Amino acid sequence: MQQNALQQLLQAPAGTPVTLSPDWCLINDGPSGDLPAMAPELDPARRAKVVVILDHDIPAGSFQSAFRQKSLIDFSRANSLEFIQSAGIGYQLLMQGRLKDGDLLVTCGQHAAQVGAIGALGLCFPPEELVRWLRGGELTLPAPLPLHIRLEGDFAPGATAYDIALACAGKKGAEGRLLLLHDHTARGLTLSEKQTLCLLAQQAGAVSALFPEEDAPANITLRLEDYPPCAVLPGSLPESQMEAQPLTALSGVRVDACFIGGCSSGRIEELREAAEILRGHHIRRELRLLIGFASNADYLQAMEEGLIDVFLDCGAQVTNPGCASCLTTSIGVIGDGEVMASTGCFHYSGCCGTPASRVYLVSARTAAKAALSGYLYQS
Amino acid sequence: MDAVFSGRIWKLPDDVDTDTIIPGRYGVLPSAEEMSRHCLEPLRPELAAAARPGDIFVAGKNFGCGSSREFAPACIAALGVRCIVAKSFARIFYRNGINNGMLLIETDDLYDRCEEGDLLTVEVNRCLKVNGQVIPIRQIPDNLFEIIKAGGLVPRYRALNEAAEAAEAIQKEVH
Amino acid sequence: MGYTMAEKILMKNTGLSHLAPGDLIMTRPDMCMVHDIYTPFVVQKLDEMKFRRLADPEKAVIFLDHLCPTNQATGDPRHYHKGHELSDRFGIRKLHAGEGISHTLMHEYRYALPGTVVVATDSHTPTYGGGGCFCTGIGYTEMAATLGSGEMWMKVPEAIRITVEGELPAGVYAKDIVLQVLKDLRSDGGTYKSLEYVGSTIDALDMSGRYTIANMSLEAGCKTALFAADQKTADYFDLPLEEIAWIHPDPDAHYVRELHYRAEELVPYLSCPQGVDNVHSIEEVQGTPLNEVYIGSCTNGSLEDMAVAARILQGHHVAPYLKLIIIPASIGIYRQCMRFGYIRTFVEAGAMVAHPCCGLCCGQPYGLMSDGEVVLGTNNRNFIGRMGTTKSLIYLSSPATAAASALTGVITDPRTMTAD
Repeated sequence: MQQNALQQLLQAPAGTPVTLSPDWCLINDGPSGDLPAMAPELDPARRAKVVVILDHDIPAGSFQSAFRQKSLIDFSRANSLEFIQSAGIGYQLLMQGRLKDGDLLVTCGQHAAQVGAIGALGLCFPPEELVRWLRGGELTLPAPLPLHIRLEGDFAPGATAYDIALACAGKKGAEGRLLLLHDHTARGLTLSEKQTLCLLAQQAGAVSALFPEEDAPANITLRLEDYPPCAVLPGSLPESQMEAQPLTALSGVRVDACFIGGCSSGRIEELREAAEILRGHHIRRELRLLIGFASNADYLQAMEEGLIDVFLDCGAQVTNPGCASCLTTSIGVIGDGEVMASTGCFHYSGCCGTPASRVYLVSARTAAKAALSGYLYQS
Repeated sequence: MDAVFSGRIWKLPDDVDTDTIIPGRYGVLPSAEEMSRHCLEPLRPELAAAARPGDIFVAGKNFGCGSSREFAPACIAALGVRCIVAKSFARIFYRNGINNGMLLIETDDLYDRCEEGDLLTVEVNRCLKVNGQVIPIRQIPDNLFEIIKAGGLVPRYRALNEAAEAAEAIQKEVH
Repeated sequence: MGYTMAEKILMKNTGLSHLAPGDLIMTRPDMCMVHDIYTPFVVQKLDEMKFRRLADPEKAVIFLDHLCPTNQATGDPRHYHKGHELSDRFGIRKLHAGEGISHTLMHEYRYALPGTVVVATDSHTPTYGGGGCFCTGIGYTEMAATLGSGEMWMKVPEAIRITVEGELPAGVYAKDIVLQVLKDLRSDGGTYKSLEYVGSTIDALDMSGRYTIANMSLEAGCKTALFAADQKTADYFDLPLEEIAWIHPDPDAHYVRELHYRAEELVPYLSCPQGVDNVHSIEEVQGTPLNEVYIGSCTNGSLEDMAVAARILQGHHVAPYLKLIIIPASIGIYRQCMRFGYIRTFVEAGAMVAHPCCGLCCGQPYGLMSDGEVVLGTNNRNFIGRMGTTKSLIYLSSPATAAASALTGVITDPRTMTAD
């Protein structure tokens, strides 16, 4: 039987190049939005692997986005590619019935690791390398050294999977490794929690992260209760290392805007948590709270459960499924001197507004509490 | 504003809308002066740089149609153009212009009798003179010309409120 | 001699026993509305005029709708905060942030009442005339002066009477009526004037249809657009009919122009690039390929409009590659759309549903088009570059035409789809 990409990478001696056969290639209007200009015609055999999803800046908030989306549409049409828009975040959509355990997904985005929640491998490549593969060339990756992590215990009071992901995103030790997470918690992690735990692996320098089917002896053990609620501090540059601090140390940081959504918190599970906190209250006067949904399924489910009513009651604005304020030049931006508590994945100056604005990354719970009080705090 | 003044003509067509006068995306620029550099950009990209204070716009019908954006007259005024003669004005532009201290004159009789670059003389409440021709104009109601003469609504109410405050201060001293 | 609706309302406001078109009068507006594009400028002008307080803060309302969700980081957040500053410093208690489009909320919240005079810093203010309210758009300097002094000068407008009689054919809506009027009046045919709508077709329209027509009448340059108050008006505002029944034109009122239409002769119309008055019948433009369709705005974002769109989209999917964006005009309408299943219908049809706001109409938050792209919207303006680059093209139509066209990807006659 043919080995899948994960098996190939794990069996090859670390550092030796492994030729990959991706099952899926995700092209979106974010980091891979310029691929059409680089590879107008694709290798016919590879076309079936490609799915083009508009999710970053929808509806288009700038002329640049409008041009980029038009070029992706023309590109999809010319190459007869699967094309999706108006449906949510690409990764989330792929996980809803497309990707399978053991599949290999390649893209240019930094958050492909989240598909590791279902045992798929999400890898991020520079556009030039993806283009070479799309035109029929080889795609190789030096076999990474695995790092087996055993997850034990249960979340600290008030903490969520995203607090752990945020706290670990700035830690040393993951660089160049393939993180293999093994769930040994008594309660069992939910799919959504697993997705969140894998989400920031590539930003921490790892090749990817996933929950494999087979157990293996752990290199390290991570006890969930060791991670209290935290926030990643605003960074100056996209490549700035993430640095988290416990919320207790940040109590009193004033926020002007909150965003709940994106890959970490736009699913029904996190939206329920946020709604539980917001229910029956109103956000602080003059503060802006934007809710983004990971996919249409999450949006419709939130509607069925009355969560959207809760959000509207509390003064929030609810936007269409997609990346929303996570990394944007248009939806829910903040201005000079403003501070946002965001459940997004980007923390650098200008990722959601002007260069003189600041973004703290937090869990949905923390963002919801901040929206009510106007401050970061741990209850 | 003097009762008699002269200026060089810029000729503009019918139905110049406010999005043409100042495209919406420039509406967030901090001042009318900065916006004025983009004034009429979609229609006459060279105009903003070439216009001189005292120039006069001569336009066709329905000048300033479209949105209520007051930046439109404000950014024309920032170019130093304080007088527009048009076959007709869009309603909101008419109010905004007057309330910003601009003299807006409606007449059908000038447009076809002048060219761009001609020198136009305006005698308020009397006539227009161009190329040796005299074109009578309608009277402007006194209360409107008061606002124009004062430089617009702002100077008018500032003067009224300052006077009221001064009176209040005297009142306090008296008590 | 009788009076027009505009004259009657202005007489009530001023207490004058007689007035005539061209008279300059001093009115005392019953409500003043400021929205977020102008909040910094109104604050600035109030300060420049040295107003320390407003004539009556209860007659003022602030909406944050054009720049919500914030879209341009260099400006929008400042406008948002300035709206709150205007509220805080001048004691304006009515402030609505992110609840939807001001013009829709003005009548939803009962701020724009029948028989009153309302001014707002927006050109589409004539909207409220659908409910018999004399309302008109003004600039921010004039708004500051009006808020501070409580007064505003006005020239009594001449009026045009537009009579529509008969029953609208299936697939033809209020939007088509006003597009036909714009075709005839052109963009300046109503300048300074009160457009007054009467006739059996008008009487049969629901409130949302009347608001649609009043809203878009502005594109003919009118000062205000008025509809008589009837039982529907009374029900909508929860007022006794006898209190507002005086809002109708006298039989011998003087109109400078009359337009007559038979509803049966109307067809779906579209405003075509580039001019709102460049109106063509559906037969002339059907088949034009589209890249994007937008259903929403203060013209056509009502529950009734959403229902029409949902009926056509139900069980179908938009054409491949076409972007369909639907934005209910207010969060109240949005909630009802959820309740009635319209939102699910929209999403399942492949639409993006965004938070209630002015949306694509003002080219601010999103939905922008690139060179050569074509959008069909239910909004009210198709000026060059308003919804994208200067090389994008805009068509305007009813929600029915828009929804039908979204399914096929080309401009499509809704009468072929609403026959059932």
